[in-house]
Amino acid sequence: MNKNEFLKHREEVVVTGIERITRESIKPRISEVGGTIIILQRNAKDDRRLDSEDIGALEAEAAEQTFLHAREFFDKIFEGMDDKERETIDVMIIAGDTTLITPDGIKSYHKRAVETASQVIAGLKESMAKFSLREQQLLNTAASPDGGVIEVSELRDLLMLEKSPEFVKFLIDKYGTGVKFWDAYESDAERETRLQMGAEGPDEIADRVNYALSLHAQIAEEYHQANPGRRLIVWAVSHYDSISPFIKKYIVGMEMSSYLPVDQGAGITISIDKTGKATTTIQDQELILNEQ
Amino acid sequence: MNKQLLNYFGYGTNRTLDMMAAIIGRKEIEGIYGKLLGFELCIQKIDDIPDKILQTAPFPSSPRKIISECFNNDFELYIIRPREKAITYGIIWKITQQEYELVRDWELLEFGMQEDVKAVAIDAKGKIINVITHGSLSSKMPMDRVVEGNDYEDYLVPKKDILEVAEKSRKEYLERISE
Repeated sequence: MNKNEFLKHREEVVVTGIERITRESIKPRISEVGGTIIILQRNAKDDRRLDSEDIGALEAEAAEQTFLHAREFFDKIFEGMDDKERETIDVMIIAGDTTLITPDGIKSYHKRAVETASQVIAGLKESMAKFSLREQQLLNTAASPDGGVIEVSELRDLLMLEKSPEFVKFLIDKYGTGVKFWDAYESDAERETRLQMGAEGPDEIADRVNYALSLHAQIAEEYHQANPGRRLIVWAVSHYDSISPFIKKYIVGMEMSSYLPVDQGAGITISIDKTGKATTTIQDQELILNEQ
Repeated sequence: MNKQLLNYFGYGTNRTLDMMAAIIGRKEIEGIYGKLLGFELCIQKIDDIPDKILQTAPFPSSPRKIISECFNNDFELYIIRPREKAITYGIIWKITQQEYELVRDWELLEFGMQEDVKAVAIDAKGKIINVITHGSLSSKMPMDRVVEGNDYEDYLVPKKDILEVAEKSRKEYLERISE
């Protein structure tokens, strides 16, 4: 593996047949001892109704689905292990700490990735109780003051909405705040202006998510060194605009200007064995993500 | 009590108790050794510090100007930026949200010198800890040099000078927010 990149940009590898990322790609996998499973998930659907009293909060149905999906995921993992093996599993739940900001002026204190991850924790806790896992096997219990979601900066949504108001205004003036705005942003149609104004684009976001996954792999490596004999699951929740470009650039080698939908609550599973080899399976295609 | 405390990752000079005491005005602070993963420790010189005046700044001045008025042109500071596989060594301090606001003021976050960073650290026993700290989230942040390892110099500016400025700065901040 290249020491400076978790995954390499897949310029020379093009994986065909992957047109949409769904929940099916979040696959319950059991790692070997010393191995790590990383889930990278898009946030669940949040309430964008302008007349809503709780704009930006997860919709009740989406929250429930996230909870049930996570519980089923962990049930399947724990079912596939005997009591002794279950004692070797640790889980940490991470999310980007973005609050909601949209080009059309919506601002909310709600953090939809964190709220999605909270539902994952709730599902996990039920499953842990069912299979008699210890509370400490959820590493969040000791990691954060309230035992909740581990919030991290590198999984944030579009940084331009917060940090580059000049470029956002430029796009709004030219394309409005609707679909055309997002098409222009995602296809990087105004790349030259964007670079002049120092705004982060899809290519840089893909690199940022790759850095985030590299960081999770580093955390796992350090964790395994300090705690031998364990298996680790890192469940990381981010956003469409960070996950889609990452998968295009680093997983399937698609054109960055093309469209790759990622359903709400969907994502991918990356397995890292104890030698550092990373693999994923999307739509029944098993992909080796790095070279050893 | 502990439930209300933040895990603040202090690196560079902020890993020393004297510096933290000067910034937050409390001498008994609980802290443990920790490693911040995925961030490299850098040193900035005065010309690397942003010179832009933010519209949101508490008063119209740039971080570089504020620093220049307090120290001479040989001033240097510690800051972190993202880099794969990097480790920054420091102390995980238990402080309150109000005390973290004093740290933010000292590090000129509202003026744009640094930004809030939420990250993962690991302590000497291999326990994972969610920490809050400050630095740059850009891997292209301008800097003079990178510092490797745990055995780095705590003070880049004479200790007496920086502690005096920190004490003064804390008192000014507290006066400002009480107005």
